[in-house]
Amino acid sequence: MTTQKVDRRGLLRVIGGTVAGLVVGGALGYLLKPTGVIERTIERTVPTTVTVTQPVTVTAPATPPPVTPPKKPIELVYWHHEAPSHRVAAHQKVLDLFYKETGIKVTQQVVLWGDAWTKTLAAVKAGNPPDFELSIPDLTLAVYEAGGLAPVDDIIKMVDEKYKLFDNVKMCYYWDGHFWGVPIWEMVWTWLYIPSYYEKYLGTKEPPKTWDEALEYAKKLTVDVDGDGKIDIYGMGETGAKNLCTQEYAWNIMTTFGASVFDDNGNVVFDSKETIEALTYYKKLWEYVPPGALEWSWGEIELAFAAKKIAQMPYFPAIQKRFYEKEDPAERKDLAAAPMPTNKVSANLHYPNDAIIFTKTAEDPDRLDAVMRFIEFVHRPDINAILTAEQEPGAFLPCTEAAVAPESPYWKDPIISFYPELNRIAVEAVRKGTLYGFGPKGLQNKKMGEVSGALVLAEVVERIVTGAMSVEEAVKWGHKKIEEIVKG
Amino acid sequence: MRLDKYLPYALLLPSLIWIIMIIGYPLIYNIWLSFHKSTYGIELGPFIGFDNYIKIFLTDDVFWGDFINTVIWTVGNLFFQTVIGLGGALLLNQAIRGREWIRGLVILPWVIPTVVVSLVWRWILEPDLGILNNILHYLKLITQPLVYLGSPSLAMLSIIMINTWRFSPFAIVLILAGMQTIPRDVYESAKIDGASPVATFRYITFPLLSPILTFVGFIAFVWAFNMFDLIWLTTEGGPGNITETLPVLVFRRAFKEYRMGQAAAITTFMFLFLLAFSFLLIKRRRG
Repeated sequence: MTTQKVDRRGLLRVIGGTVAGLVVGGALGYLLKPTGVIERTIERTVPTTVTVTQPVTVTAPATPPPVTPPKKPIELVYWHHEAPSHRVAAHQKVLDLFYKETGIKVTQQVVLWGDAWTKTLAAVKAGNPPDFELSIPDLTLAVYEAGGLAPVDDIIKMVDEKYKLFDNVKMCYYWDGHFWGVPIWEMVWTWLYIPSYYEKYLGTKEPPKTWDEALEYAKKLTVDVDGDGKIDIYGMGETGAKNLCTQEYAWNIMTTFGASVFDDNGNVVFDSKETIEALTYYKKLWEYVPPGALEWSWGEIELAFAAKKIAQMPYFPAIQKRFYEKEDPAERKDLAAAPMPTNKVSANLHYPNDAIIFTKTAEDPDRLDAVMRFIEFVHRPDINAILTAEQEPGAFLPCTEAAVAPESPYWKDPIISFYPELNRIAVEAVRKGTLYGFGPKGLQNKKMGEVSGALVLAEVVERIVTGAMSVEEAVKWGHKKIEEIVKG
Repeated sequence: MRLDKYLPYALLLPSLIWIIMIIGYPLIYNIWLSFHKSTYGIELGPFIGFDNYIKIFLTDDVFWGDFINTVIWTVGNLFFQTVIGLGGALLLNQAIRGREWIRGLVILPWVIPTVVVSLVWRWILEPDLGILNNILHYLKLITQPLVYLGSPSLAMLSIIMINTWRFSPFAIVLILAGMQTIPRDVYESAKIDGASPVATFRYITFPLLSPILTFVGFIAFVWAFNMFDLIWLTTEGGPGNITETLPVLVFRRAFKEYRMGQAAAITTFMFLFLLAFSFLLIKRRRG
């Protein structure tokens, strides 16, 4: 094998070129990085007690606020997690109206729900979060724990005074003596059913009032329509996989029995008579669900119900949109809602969405003022109707008395007005909504975020419906698991 | 001065820097993280020595179960992909009409994105609405819907089959390429000596293919061992923890339960396991 001689000049040229390339690349990277990243050192942010005390000029809703030019051009950026194009369009409509009225430009950036936790926490850690973000209680708690949030007591007070927030909704954001998120819209579950099936197979139009009635209905509604030995209609919709959908199913039935994960002192009270009762009914109802329900998540159960393979189930009233889009007028109308069956407590699952403000924003009075003006703006009933009824009818509901008042534009939405009784029941469900880990006094235990992330409730249900454990064993297991998470 | 011996190192330097940055540094940081009680997004946490490892190996209620699931998943994939890969390559090596077209079509499952594969197969295997059960019911092979991804007894086999459907074309292509390198005259000599097709395969094809089969097996093993996306998108590790493998457990620990230190410890274990496996395999091959 011959070796080729290399002269020194050639070698020096190669090394020099490599080093030069690295230097140029590094310099370009440094110069092109956003200034916020360069100027801010990466360090743990500590929770500050910046109390929002900026005076806000609020005029009556009928008159648009005067366009007072801000001292310097303010442009806000916020993150939200509603990726479908029609939802993005609804947000943009609100932003355009805000700009028209105030001259303040607000830009939306969509971060998928699957990335929300990782990206938000990474942004907080890197010191470059957006100005504010639309969030849910679990995420708000996680960001709080990361030291990234500013308290929003004054904004809550302002919105409450003008529009009257529902108490149960705002208390989902209360802990350590402060509010940490401003509710923007609500999500609830109601009892949904196919009225024609009730009439045909039960001989009644009345929805079940108790879980015993629901069980009886489920049995009669599980039907082999064409006699081929294969069930065509299933009497109940539930899921059994270890996912958020099942977790919410579990909580929804638990809350109607008065069961809880924590008490108001933060103690774990999961293993209780009420939890066992609730999940026993879950198991009994499981006999009447479609065979694939063990692996289902949101999409599958929604499609099965919209295809009328399932006769009744608790779920988001958002499913009205699928029925509204059916061509046959009779099919469009074949959907109804009722209050959640209950054996003890009149309640149902709810999931409020909130706006959180980062400490970085709160440290800049002008930016904070702009964010507050925006939050006040989106609570105006005519604007709130865009973010609720227009964005996703039945899925996102108002969370203030003003926004659900009879004269509110919310009720004028074409889909909302097509199912008036269903949506009236949905709004009532907002007032009765409960969420695991939260009580009338606010957050019960800060570890609820981790308990929720670990999908403990869903795993308890999964162990029950797969027959891996009895109800009592599974609840005991779940209780132990929650205690381990709380201990850390 | 003869500097030719330094030139290769100089030329390798940029790649080496890049590898250190994107593999070396994260690997070492990950090992460092595994010795801390770290919570994602919050802080590195206090140094706790081997506590995370002790928790995982001795007191964790899912780790060893998930390790066994990982072995079953990996060996299952390895077996089916190698067998189907070999069988497919043998078929495509025959002089059949349209062979070139078939060779092109066979690669299709491999090029479909994992997300699409997972979602489509979820619907195909849906017990009530899925096309597979509907066909089986039409052919009167079943009277009640079979549950695949939701069944503790069928879930693991189902996802192995999905992954095999996806990756076998890659194995077929590699093994087929290996077959093309076997000299024709060896087969002709065997034919003249009266060797049967089975004997030809056993004494000529298989031994000469063993290096490529080892390579395919190794790739199938490592890829399957580390696979997360397909399992997460089809079963999320359920039902129960029956399809939860170590990569799925790592994801859950790190990003759902925020226990980064434990997740880092599990990934360090996985890295050392694969390193040991690779080392043993290479040593055996050399032997």
